[in-house]
Amino acid sequence: MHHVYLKEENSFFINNTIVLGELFMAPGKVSIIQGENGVGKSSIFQYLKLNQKSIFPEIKCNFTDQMRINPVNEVHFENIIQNLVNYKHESISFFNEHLGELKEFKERTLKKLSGGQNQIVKIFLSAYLGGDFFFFDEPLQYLDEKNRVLFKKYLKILKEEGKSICLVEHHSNLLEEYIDYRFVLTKEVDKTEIKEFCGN
Amino acid sequence: MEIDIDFIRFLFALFCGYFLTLSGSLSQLVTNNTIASPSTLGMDGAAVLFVILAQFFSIGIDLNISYVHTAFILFLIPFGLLSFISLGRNRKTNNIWEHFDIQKIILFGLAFNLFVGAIFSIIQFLFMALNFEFPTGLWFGSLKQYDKDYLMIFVVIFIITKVYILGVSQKFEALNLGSSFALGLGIDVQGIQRIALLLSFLLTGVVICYFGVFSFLGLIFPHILRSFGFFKSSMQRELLIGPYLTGFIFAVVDQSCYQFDIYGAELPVGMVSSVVGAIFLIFLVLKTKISRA
Repeated sequence: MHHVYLKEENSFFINNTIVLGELFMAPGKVSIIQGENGVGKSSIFQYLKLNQKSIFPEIKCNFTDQMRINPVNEVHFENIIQNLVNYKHESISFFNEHLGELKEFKERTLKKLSGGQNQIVKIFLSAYLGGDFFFFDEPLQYLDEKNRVLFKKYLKILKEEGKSICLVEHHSNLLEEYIDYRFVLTKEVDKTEIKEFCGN
Repeated sequence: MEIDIDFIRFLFALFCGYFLTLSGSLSQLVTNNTIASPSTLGMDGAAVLFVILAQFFSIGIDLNISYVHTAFILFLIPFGLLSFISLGRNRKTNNIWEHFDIQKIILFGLAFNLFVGAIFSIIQFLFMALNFEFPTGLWFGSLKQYDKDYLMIFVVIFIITKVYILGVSQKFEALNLGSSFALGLGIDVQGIQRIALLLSFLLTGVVICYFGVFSFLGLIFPHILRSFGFFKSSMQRELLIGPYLTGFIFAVVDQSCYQFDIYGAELPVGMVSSVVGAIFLIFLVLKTKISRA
């Protein structure tokens, strides 16, 4: 079990909002961060990403956020795989098992992909690069029903392979069967607190 | 017709083409914007200010060195200061563009270049009225006035740049996919963005101080490279190999200007690049608009 403590002294990183509380992640378990819009969920995600080396020392982290991949050149998925080989940790079996589902657009330049296709490319990149701790910021956004099912398969494989997973997601009902720990952020006048959590 | 190739000049042109391409590629990479370049970010205008300043110095004081060296030394002082301040700052955000709109910065850069151009015209008028020497051709760079003494400076900057790019080329590949993506891989995105922009400024500065402005070359050359299959899918190839090719192209264009004069006058290669570059920028802006629509 890995604990992340959000205290007053590090809260200035999170858009000047004080976020207090504790999160934890465990091997083979999914932790989900929930709350209203603007409460600071994605800010916590950014905070974890920016400070990954100090919060998770010696742990290979893997972050998938909402930002679109928009390179200046004409790379396509297969180029990226070759270009990022040095950052590869240990691919998740999902990558090889489902790579065929990318066949429609894996040779199209990333600039020409739709939002949903871009998102699914990021999920395959996450599987290719591997790691121990996986973080996703609203992974279901932009995905159609078929690709949401694909993401659920990915989540299942990650759990089976004993990875620790943390999600920021509004549509938690779609992932209900996979969620182990739930953290709810509640905003008060000048601070956000992680008020409650419960296990499945 | 006899063709007399000036090899030293060819070498300088190679360096200039190499430096400006790299400067453009780095600007576009760290801003994640294909119309960013030394010319559109205002780096050209900033470097020109130091050349004008050096010209002022050369009037009153006998520095015993060429005014181009004075310009470069003057450029290095604020450059060093900027490096010191920028590299020493705490990094609390994902990337340095987080609080800025890059389109506005490009607009500001172009406006700044126009502003420096206006200052340049006023000072040129005053210098000519007072019968002082003035580098009139500064805005249209030319390699006509090269001196072998400059070679050492260009070689040193080339080596520094090469070592840095070789060291971080893998990180540039990740950064090309976006600062957020690179940050997820544990890369110090802000640190790389700052060094790359400083390097871009240095590369532009040295070319302008010694040979004048070659407008928009930093914008055109990376795009020319990306039109070749070999370069368009790899940032490492574009940064490590590409500048040699465009440097060579530039050197050939410069030699053509040198060989084929017009009524006895050499056409400044910077003039050619300004005209072609401005048209190219309009084309790029239109292309971006159309693809968005």
